[in-house]
Amino acid sequence: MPGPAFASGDSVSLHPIEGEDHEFLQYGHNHPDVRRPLGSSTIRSRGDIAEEVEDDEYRFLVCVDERSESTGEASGAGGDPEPVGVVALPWVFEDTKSGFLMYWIAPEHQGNGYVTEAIELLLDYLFRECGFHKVAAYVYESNDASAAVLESLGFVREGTLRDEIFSDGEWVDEYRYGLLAEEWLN
Amino acid sequence: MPGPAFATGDTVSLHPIEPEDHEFVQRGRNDPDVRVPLTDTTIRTLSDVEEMLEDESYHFLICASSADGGGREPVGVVAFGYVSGTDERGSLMYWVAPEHQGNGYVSEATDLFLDYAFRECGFHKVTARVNVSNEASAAVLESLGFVQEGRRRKESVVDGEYEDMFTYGLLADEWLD
Repeated sequence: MPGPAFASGDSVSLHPIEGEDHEFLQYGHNHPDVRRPLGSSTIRSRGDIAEEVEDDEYRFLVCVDERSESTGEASGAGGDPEPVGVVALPWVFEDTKSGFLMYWIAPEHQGNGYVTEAIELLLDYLFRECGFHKVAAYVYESNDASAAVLESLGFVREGTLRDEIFSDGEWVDEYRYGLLAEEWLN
Repeated sequence: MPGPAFATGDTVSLHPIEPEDHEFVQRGRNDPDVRVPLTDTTIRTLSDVEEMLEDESYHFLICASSADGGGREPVGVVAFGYVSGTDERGSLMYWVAPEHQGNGYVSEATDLFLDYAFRECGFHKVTARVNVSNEASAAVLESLGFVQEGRRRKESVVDGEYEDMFTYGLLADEWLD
């Protein structure tokens, strides 16, 4: 069971990752529908996952209220939180107080808007509590859904990196996005 | 003394970095005229330098003929500060010690390094980032064929303020053509 929520929105909450959640993380990370758009083709063992979680200060589980998802009733009191994905900063630069954003939602939970709300909660935490100055993100040029999520949150496209990532047998471009603290807080 | 040269141009040569060179690397990296444009202001002890270089496959010493005519002396470093997981994309980093700047060493050293990376190691792309105020470094990159791919807003700290950085990229087929 995930640790207690430290941030909650209308439909999702963010939780520290506990040992029992590693199996879910492994399943998600290794799933082709997750690892491909993520540009992270490494297949991970349970030990790899444990190492990653241990190394990252900003890696959290996105959960929904189990009962609310199955019955459609309002979330809140009651049901156990069910993990649906992860939001994280796999890279943090302490000197400039910035980091790269990474997120994924397990295939069976996609299309519910969970990712947007989860990132919103994470950005609030990073900018308001942790003093971050900037959060950057990278998306494949073909990943319209992910780019739309970032743009709806106010991320600004800062570059088109040519032939940056190997995907489906060829080199593809990647967009680089950035969001500054002052843009988020205003 | 630096290890034997593995690439040689008209004025500079590239060498593996030996423990005896760590003191030179430490002095260079800690110099404000180097660490600020490099956007890596960490002050390093000699053992920090040793640790930094331990796992690096693409860190090389740039050497030039010494002023007194007595052989080669280290003038700077050219490297991939970061290589993507699959070794196909490298992030370029270079510096020349203040007393050796203005001699065109960086351009020739980078030229030799890119030949090595693209022709021998099979890299697909080399990227670089420079502060927008660092016109000299941007000019070096552009003269080598790097293409500006974006402007990262308020990405580095210079003189107490956040500054934008240009991001550059050079593809193997552009270099080899």
